[in-house]
Amino acid sequence: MKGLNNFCQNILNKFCQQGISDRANFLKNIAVIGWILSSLAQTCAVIFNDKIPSKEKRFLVPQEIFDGLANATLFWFITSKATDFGKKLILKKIVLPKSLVNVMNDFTTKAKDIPKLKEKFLAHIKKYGTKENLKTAEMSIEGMGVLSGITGAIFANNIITPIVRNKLAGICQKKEMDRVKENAPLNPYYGNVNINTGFYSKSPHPLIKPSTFRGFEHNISMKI
Amino acid sequence: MRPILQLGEKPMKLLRTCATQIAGPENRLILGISALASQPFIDFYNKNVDEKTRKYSVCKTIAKIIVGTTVGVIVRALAIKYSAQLLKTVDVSELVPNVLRKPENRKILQNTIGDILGLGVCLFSNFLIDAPLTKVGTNLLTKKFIKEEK
Repeated sequence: MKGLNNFCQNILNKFCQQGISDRANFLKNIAVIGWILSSLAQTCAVIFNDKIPSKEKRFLVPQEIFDGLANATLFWFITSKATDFGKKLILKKIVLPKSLVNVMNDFTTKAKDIPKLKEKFLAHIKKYGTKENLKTAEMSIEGMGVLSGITGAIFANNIITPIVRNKLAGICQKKEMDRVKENAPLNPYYGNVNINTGFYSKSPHPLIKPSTFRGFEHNISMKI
Repeated sequence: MRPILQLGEKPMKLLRTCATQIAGPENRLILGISALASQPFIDFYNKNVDEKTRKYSVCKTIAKIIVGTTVGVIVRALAIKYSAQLLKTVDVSELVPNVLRKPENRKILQNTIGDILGLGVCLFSNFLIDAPLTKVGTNLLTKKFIKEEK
């Protein structure tokens, strides 16, 4: 119990530290966890919605699942790249607040990864600038990261993800419909499978699904 | 020497707002509004499925975005409000000792704790509120727009 407590405490601690020192990545990480949870719930909502016909469910359920998967992966990947891009704009002196232009004039570094680049960037300001300059620099790096991260998130979440999930879910639905078509008719006594409902067209009861009768026609004693 | 694009007071104000003010609710609202502006159209023009499936898909997407955004923003905003109360009564200096010393980080700390709390609440609200409301919303929209085809 104490171990679990420590584990939770450590995770919370790490989250808090990231939420304060690396706002852009923190927002990205909690958004990804949020999308996964939301997608799970929405998949359940479609599965248990009896007003949606089964043919449409064959598309909507994989659509929701792929929405969650594509959201989590693409959102995380694109937003990460966008956040890093935004931070690098400041750290590589492509964009700078006016008050920092003079202070950063002589700043050069060969560092490429963001933590090192940021460390050297801030160290240079500490050495040659004021406390106010340091605050402005920290604010502009984080702000630019969040701004470009949100732009990346909008692009990933609202343009790339829907296109990818629709394509994948469409393939799933087609495969499922082809499978139903291939198996039809499963039973000569109950007619063909209705592609729209997935049920036998002559089924004596609407709730009797084709799977109930799979193999029925091979049962010789029943045929006799 | 490479030219530097200099940021004046207005863009700096925007960056400051992004760095300190944008938390879970704002993030969710921005993504929700942009989702409503794009996703239904992408679903409507999805050529991978037939027209009827497309209509169901659009109805489900609209209901999901409206419900998800509304509930998500409310839950996260309430969590941040609660975290402000929490910070007044509970000593969290052990959790983030070095940062609490800076008073300017107080708002960010409040947002961070609120965001984490909000995520915990969303674990339940997604299933207990979002999913059933999305179902109701989808059925209402399909009843209205797919009536003649039923």
